[in-house]
Amino acid sequence: MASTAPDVTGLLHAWSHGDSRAFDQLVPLVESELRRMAHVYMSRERPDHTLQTTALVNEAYVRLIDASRVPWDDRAHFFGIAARLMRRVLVDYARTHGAFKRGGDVRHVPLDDAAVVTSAIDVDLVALDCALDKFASVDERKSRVVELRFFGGLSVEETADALRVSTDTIKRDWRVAKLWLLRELAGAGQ
Amino acid sequence: MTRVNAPWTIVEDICQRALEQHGADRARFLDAACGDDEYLRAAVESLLSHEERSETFLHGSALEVVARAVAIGAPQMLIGRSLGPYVIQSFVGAGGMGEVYRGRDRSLDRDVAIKVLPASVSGDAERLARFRHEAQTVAALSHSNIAHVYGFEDDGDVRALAMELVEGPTLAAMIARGPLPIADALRIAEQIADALEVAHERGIVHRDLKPGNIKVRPDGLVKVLDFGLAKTMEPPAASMSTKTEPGLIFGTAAYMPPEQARGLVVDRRADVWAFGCVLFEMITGRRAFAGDDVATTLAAVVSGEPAWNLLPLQTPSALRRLLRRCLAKDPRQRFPELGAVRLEISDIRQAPLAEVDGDATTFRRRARLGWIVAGLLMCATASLGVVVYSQRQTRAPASGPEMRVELTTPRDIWNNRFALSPDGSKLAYSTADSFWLRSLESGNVQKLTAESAEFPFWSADGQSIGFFADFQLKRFDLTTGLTQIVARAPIGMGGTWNAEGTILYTPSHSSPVWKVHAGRADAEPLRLAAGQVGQRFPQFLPDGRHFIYLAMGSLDVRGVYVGSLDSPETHRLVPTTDWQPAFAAPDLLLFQRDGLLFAQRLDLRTYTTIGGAVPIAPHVALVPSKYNSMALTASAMGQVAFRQSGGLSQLTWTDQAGRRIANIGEPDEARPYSARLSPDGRTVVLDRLVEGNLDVWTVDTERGTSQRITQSPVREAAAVWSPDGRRVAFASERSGLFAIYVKTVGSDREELLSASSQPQVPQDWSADGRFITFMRQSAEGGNDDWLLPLEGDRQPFPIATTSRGMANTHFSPNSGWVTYISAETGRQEAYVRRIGSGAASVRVSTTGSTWTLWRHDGQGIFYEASDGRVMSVPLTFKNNEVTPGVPIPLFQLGSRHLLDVAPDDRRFLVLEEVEPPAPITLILNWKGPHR
Repeated sequence: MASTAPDVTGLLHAWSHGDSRAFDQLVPLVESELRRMAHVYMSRERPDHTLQTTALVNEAYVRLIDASRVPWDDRAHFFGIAARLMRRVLVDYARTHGAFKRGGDVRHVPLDDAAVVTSAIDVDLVALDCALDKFASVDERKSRVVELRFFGGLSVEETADALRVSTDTIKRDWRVAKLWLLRELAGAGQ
Repeated sequence: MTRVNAPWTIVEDICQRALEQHGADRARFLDAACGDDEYLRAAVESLLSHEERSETFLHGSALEVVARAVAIGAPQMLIGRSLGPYVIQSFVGAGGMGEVYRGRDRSLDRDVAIKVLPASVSGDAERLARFRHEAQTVAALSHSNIAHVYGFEDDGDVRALAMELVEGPTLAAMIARGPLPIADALRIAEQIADALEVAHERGIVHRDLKPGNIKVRPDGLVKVLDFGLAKTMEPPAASMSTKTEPGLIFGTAAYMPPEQARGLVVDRRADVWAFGCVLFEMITGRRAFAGDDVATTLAAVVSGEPAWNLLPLQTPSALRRLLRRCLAKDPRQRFPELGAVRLEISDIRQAPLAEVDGDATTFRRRARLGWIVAGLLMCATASLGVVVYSQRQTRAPASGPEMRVELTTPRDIWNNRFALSPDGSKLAYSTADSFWLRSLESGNVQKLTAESAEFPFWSADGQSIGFFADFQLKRFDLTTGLTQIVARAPIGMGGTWNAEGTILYTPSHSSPVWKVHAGRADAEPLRLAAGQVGQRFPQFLPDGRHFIYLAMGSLDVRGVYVGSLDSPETHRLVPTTDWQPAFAAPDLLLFQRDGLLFAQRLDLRTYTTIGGAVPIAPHVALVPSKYNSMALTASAMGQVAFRQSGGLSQLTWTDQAGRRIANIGEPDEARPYSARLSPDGRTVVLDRLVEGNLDVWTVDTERGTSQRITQSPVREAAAVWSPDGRRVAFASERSGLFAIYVKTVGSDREELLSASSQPQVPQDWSADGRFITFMRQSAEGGNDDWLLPLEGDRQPFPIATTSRGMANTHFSPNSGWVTYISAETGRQEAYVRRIGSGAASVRVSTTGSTWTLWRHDGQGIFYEASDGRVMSVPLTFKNNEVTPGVPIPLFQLGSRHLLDVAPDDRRFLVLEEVEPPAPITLILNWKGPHR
């Protein structure tokens, strides 16, 4: 009767083994987490507070993914898949209905926050996705660093763990990857 | 464009090493590393040129970025769309004025900025017309320091302003990196003044000048954006603002002159003020007036002074004078227009350097002396400020300017759980799991206890707060930080605390007001007057002997009454109202009528009302809340705080994966407590709060049309369908407490089914038509679900005896079983039980549950788990016994609520919150409705 929907961890495994239906089931889970977080943002007093937002994202991960069920030696692979999932879902989200059906009325956002808001959504996810694809053909590892850190929300240490390189390498990769992407994004608009 | 074809590994290597070097070192390194390979050099430098921007680029995770965008109302993705002669190319940003895109003018072959209006403006004909008019006026402005407005585009769907696209950082971004050198600040300020002067000559006031609206091009040319548009962005209510009625505050608080903060009409001197703020900020790197939130910022604007000691020592005295004259609180003491300011700046810029710098040594010595003197002065002013403030607090309640501010407290403050302190300087409020105290002066928030406090109220001396939790009336003492139990109160419904330490409170739903002394355990009930079935929300009047309260009872009895500790006599002040009243000093009675907040004067000698009732502000609807309470509080000094809207929610069909399939009707504020699908799944019966009146409505799931079913002015809710879908049973408070009535849909036929001295609320109607389950709330605060037979003697009986109560009982399709929620284990879980059997109930949820429903095939239940997931549990029946299977998660509800499931068991009726509740509005120094 009821279709069985296993948890995110199981679905991610299924997806990584080529089960495209698993992806379809994952999308609403991520989107609902997204709305939940958005809701939390709306109810937080200082939405620009860095500590809070970091905690939020970590919490989102804990909620979405039961890391204790992931075999330790499989974690790198697993986080890679999770980051890829987030990238696909979030870019699709931005591409298709990016709008929250409120017509952009920001009546309840203190006007002082407008500047903060602008910088936060300054990233055009669709363009970034495209640039990142190009970057992958130039420098595969650095594109994965961006995917893991930005889309997957991993820390420098976790990224280093996942890619089996040193944290210094990740830091160097990250700073130059950002330069490359910024140049690409700036050029693409011309 | 630069042509780049050097190998990436080499480019990267040089780039990485260059990033380790700075300034001339880097240039020398690049010279050496690239030699005369121009391509390589260009490849590296084109990367390095983004170094500054890269510091903030990809800061935070993508999930966070999108979640935040969703939270503020993300941009409508218009990329690729044509609008008049323009093609929208990319999204730039969003702010209070709508979304900004980069577009291309195909006919003139130039890039433009396209500002798409928010729905609040484009959907309002009057505001749209004002905006259009203003845009035309601004378009006529032509000045090198004003971003040119090309025109207004309207394709029927999207309304937007096409403007000059200005490259370069905003002044806000420049200041974020630190204060500007005085010479640079003056150069920029002169151009801003020039722009404002020219606009003022044409009668255009900017009204929202701030660093975020000013851009500095790479060639140094300054462009001021968004002239005159702020005015048209205001909600219509603000346009009614006059001297007698305060307008809503609209604009950026930190740059708003005091007269605007007070809701008065503003003129070009508002721009002079904002100009002063911007100049101060450029020179010091700090805002002239800052606070943790809008409320404290406005307080600084109205009564604070900028931190003048932040001005660098070398600030010329003429510039200091100029800043003071721009930032004079009284507009008449300000520069009347920008022309004078511009000339003044021009003079300062041309002053010989020697005069600015002076003799270094003597200047420094003088300056240090000045510092000490300034420090002493600061202390003096600071303590003076406190004295003035406290005097104002105790002697002249409404002597300050009247202001309305929105408190940016957490949105999950429960509506019946906030209270202003007697002096109006603090707000105590409770979230779902903690009790908090917020200072309205500093904005600081302090956690009081880790329990949720219902109906908090302050002691007269402001040292303690009474509240209800865990079936008790408790007190929290601010000095000791300790909580004590005062008296038993299973269903607390408000309290009040006078200067002698007497507390009046309501311990239960059908109880009179009780009296207890805060230090003793001698609680005693006052008297219920004839016809009253309950008294709620007592509040002392200023003498500490008289008090007001809401009396429950039949329509001719209920209303707001005044009583006294010294006499059993009471009389009614406001008839037939159903909701909590409040008293605001010095003499105003506040109450709700038709969803609006009204005020009426109270004669404190005769305790009768004087004159008519006046709405405090037109169109301010209040959120009614639990047990007839209002999201409203008033201090002894006359401040009033209330919540205007409970937020918007949308009924939806959602599939088994949690995806929205379709919306049912439009989003509205009438957030239902319960909603049930008719047996054919086509009609929803739900309760809606419309204009302060809670009634039962039906909604057609296909057409979205709705119809009111119950007509009484009292609260009516929690309807369930009869099995044939022709009748509904619902709870009505028409006799004072909820009782169960049944009504044929589409006719006036109504019948009382069951009533008692305790509230009864229907839960479900069995498919065989023989029983209704209802929840009965005992005076002791417990609730149990009962069965009401619709045949025979109709004597209700409890379904099971539980020690922790039960709720949400729903029948299985074959009417032989029920599923319900109980906290038997200490946590709410879903259970299944065979009706009429002595066998124990079987727990089916594993990790907590808040709501449970039968599958229509009878072979399982759906429940909402405590973590917000919708779960499906298969059930196996054998010999009148049931064995639950393993719960399978279907989807995460998040901020949504599960209401019901369609007959096909595949679609869920879900309530989605699309807009959170409004923040709490605080009226400071309220002058009342008559002044």
